[in-house]
Amino acid sequence: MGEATANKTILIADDDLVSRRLLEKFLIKWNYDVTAVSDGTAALRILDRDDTPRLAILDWMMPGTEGVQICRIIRERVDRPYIYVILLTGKTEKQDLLKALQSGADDFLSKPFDAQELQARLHVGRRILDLQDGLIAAKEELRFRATHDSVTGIYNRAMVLDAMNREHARQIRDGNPFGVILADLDHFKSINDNHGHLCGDEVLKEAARRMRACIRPYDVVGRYGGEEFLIVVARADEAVTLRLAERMRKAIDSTPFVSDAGLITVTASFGVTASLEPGSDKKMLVQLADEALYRAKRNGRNQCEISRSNDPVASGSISSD
Amino acid sequence: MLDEIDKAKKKSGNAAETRSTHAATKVIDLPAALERLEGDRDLFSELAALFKAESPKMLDEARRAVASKNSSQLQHQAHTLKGAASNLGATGVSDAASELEKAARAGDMAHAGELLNALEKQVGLLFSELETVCAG
Repeated sequence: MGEATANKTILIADDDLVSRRLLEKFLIKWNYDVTAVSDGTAALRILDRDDTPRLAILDWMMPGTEGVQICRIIRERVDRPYIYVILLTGKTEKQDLLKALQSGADDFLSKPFDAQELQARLHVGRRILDLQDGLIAAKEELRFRATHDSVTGIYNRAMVLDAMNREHARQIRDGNPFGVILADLDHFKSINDNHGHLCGDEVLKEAARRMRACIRPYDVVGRYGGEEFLIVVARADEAVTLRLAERMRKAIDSTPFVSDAGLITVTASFGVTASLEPGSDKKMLVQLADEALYRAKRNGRNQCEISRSNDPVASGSISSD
Repeated sequence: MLDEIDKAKKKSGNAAETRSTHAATKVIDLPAALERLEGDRDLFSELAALFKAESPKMLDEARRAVASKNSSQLQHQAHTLKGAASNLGATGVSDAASELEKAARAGDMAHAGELLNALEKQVGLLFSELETVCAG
């Protein structure tokens, strides 16, 4: 990230036109992207936006909300990008400085300001913002790694089960059915044995990609096991879920997979079920899909089988959760 | 030009100056102002024009605040005038505004009227000084 270009959006708020124009001139000269307002209410409105400027130079005394109060308000907000605030004011007493800093201002400058000093202090502000951006990026990356499978990049087991839990809860609320598909790549062990594990990884990745291409935005594909995938199909009954499974089966079977070892034929077997009644036993659903998957394998692989739910609402049966 | 400023000041019999403790206040500290503006005379002229347009409104508001004994409004106007003038290096105005601001903050509305008169006088001086400065 180029320090020269990042975090150069800035808000200035001052009801004095002379001060505002002066600031604006300098900031534009220093290549900042400037938004200028003349009262605290307008300032807060802009600082509330998702694309708020990351830097702000606020006057203390203004109509609407005054500078220090704006600082207090924005510091109370959570889960927002940090806004670096310089309070620029004609107040010069030590208690003013203290009050400003304690209210959440990052820096305090007296009017009339010295241009070089302001420029340098803005650099400091941008350095702080860059630090925060780095931390957020690192946090995001960690979060991604914790929730996604490293080989295929799709959801990991925990996340896809979580998605199923959400659909289950949603069904209790709105009564819509949802589908569960267990997909398992056929003869995957021999792919690994014949072509190596790196190739196996590429096959997994491509299979995941092809399956994802078949789903709708609100469906979820996750890596459930070594060569096993769980798909949660939202707002779908048995017929819809089975049709989706068949689409996925064709997507994997239709064209060979390209690998460093040449073209490889890959197929997958699919076990399908759907939760038709709210409050179905979740473990039972996966078990039903698994039973169907087993039948698909036994019947020759590269096919879809469905377990239709006869007694979907578990009333104190074997596996409880 | 400094001679002109001194002469003008002596003529005015500046009330604010009799109350303040510092020495002779220039109407404009032009070198300091230009230095702060990095020598940009055009910018100075632009700001001067803005001040000339803005300050009458602020003085009106201040007048009204004195009349209605609204010390917080008076404090605000004086504070803003102080800030605006300081950007131009107009020490006469910013000092007078500062005095008025202090009085308003202390709730001293008795003296506010007198201080406001002094401030208005300073603004007048500044306007005529700006004529000279911006023309040359």
